[in-house]
Amino acid sequence: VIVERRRAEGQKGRSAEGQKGRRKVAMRRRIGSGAGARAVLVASLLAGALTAALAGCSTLGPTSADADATVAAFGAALEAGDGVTACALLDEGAVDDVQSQTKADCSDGVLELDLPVAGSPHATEVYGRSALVRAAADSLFLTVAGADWRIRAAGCTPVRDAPFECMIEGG
Amino acid sequence: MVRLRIFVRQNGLTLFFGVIFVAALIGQSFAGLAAYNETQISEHLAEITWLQYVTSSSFTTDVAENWQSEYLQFLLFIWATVWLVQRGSPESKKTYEAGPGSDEDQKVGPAATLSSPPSAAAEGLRRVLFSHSLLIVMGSIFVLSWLAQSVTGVSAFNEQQLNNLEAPLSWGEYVVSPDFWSRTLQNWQSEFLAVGSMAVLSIFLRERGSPESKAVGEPHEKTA
Repeated sequence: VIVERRRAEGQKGRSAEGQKGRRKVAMRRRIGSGAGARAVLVASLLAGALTAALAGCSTLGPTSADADATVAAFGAALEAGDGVTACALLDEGAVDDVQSQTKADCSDGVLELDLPVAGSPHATEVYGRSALVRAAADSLFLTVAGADWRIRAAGCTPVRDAPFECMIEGG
Repeated sequence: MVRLRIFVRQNGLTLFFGVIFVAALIGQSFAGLAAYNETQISEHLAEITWLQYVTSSSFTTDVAENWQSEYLQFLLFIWATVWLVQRGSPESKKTYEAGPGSDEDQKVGPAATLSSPPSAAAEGLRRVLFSHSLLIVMGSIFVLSWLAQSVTGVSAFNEQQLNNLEAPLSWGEYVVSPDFWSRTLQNWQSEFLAVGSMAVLSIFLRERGSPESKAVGEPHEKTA
């Protein structure tokens, strides 16, 4: 919580004398005829800085289309029985979970789990470095690793007022 | 060189706060990055760079929630001191001066002097806008900052939701959520306390040489 600093004087409307009067005159000089425009400019710059920061959120890192592509590639790998490719699309924690559950290498274990093939994504939400891709047959959670999306949890079904229950989950 | 020295001396207050603002913001960015990455590590997620952090919704909402509360504080202080007084406080007008004052007091319209800003002498909307320009600008920054807090806040909150394998909220759901109001009110309460205590403490306490204080020898009961 930021330390306060007040005193927005100027408009306090004192019919002042002495010290207060001097402050009022100083403030009036500062406000001047062009100061309103300058103040609006400062306000616009502040708002612009925030907007730029917001825009920056979506320009750094992979996009929601990339998340859809990762989910599609994962589904295609499962369908083709290509465990190596499927595991390459999982994040480190999810790989550990697969190996822990199946007591096998990830490339074999991920096929043993009989994960659903998600199908075409119909809703993808990206917030910061995390994404949720909902598809016809599955919902998957993704996280950014390096420059790409990696699947953090798959085989997920929603639970009312609680986290999704997932067949594999990292982290 | 002489002109620079004069400029610095005449604008010392603005320059001082400008410099410590930037220093504090940079410090916040590094401390916030460290805290963010600690969470990432504990959740077995990848760490991020400084550039990624300062463009993240997590950093932006932390900044915006403090900005909105500061500008709200000023907004309320400017407005309240028009209508409310505090006997003995140098922050207050005299008790009989409550209100917007006469045109003569305010030197507007026909009462404007040669040195008055042109907008003070103008008629109609121009004068009305200029008469409230401080409140309008401070209020606008408050509203924009609060809006920015809500937009970046929902993104930061939802990122955490997804990290916890929970469903994200819409903006409408977020602005009535406990997270949004907890972040908002924890800032507001501190600002209101600070302004209120300044108004009261300055009745009895002094800081020699500060325009925020009465002169050391002024009686406690003297207002303004």
